[in-house]
Amino acid sequence: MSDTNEFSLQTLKILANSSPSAKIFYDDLLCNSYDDFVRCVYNNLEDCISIIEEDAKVRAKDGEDRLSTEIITFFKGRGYLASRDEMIKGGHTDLVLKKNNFKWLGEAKIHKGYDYLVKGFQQLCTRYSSGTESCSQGALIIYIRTQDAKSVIDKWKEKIEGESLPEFSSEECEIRKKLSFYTTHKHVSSGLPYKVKHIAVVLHFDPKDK
Amino acid sequence: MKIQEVKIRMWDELRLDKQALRACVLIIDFLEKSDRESLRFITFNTLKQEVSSENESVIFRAATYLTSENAHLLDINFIYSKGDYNEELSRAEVIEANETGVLYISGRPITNFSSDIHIYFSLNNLGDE
Repeated sequence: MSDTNEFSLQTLKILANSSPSAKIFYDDLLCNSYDDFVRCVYNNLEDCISIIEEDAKVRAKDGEDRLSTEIITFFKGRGYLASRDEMIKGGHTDLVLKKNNFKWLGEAKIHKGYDYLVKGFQQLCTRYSSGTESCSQGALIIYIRTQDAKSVIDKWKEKIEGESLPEFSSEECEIRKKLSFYTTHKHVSSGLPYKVKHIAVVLHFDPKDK
Repeated sequence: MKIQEVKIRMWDELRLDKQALRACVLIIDFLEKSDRESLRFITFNTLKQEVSSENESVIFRAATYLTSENAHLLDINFIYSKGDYNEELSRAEVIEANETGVLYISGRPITNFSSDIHIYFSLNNLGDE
């Protein structure tokens, strides 16, 4: 035991405090519950969204399928069993991520109006997800090409709050403040709480310099 | 997962992270040119040297990919080492110790263990095919 002394669990823990990549490795290493799994998914998703948003111009004409394929590719690169359009329960789910026996589903929509987002939300919650303990969280990813993504998210939050979902509650997202939020409601199939993260991906590109 | 299969797939799966892709190419090259016996014990430092990068972040991302269910060329291993005493630990034991704050070594509870648990990698058996 000489060489390994430089890489102890303590060293990793310290590095994880300053390096996002070390944190992802550390969290993944000690992942032991569905909540841990979802936390790892969302930490990775933050990185992924940053990459997609940096290239809004390049992605200006991409459809939902192509944008979602980028997310799947990213997650494969982070070691997830990831697939797009996988047949789950009652339809083809946009994003499916699996690790151990845990499963996370995502539905992705280009913002074209709030009724279209309601449709995506209902697909996620009532068509694809089982709502069981190993699949009790998912996300609605909203690609926003219009300006002022924050106001889109604010209006969407008002809309979903008015949908009269059973045992509904909402909370802010600490990581992506103002552009993401969480909702929880009673899942129609399992009867258990189902938590959805609503995430804006800012893809507006309209430079005024020319 | 066979090395050849991962070598093909990683070009697509890591195309959004070119730094990690480069690191994986170099690590796999190292795995292929090394004798199998030496690949039972690969340290984080070895990976760092092979990648020739001062950027530790990219090593973590490459290791995340190569140890994952998706690619799984490398296994992650843990060893408790204090003085002359060494004992291999399972991932489940490390997770439990991390959650409870107590690690049991030969039935003896140890509370201050983080600096004595060391992490190393080894070639996954399937990667040897």
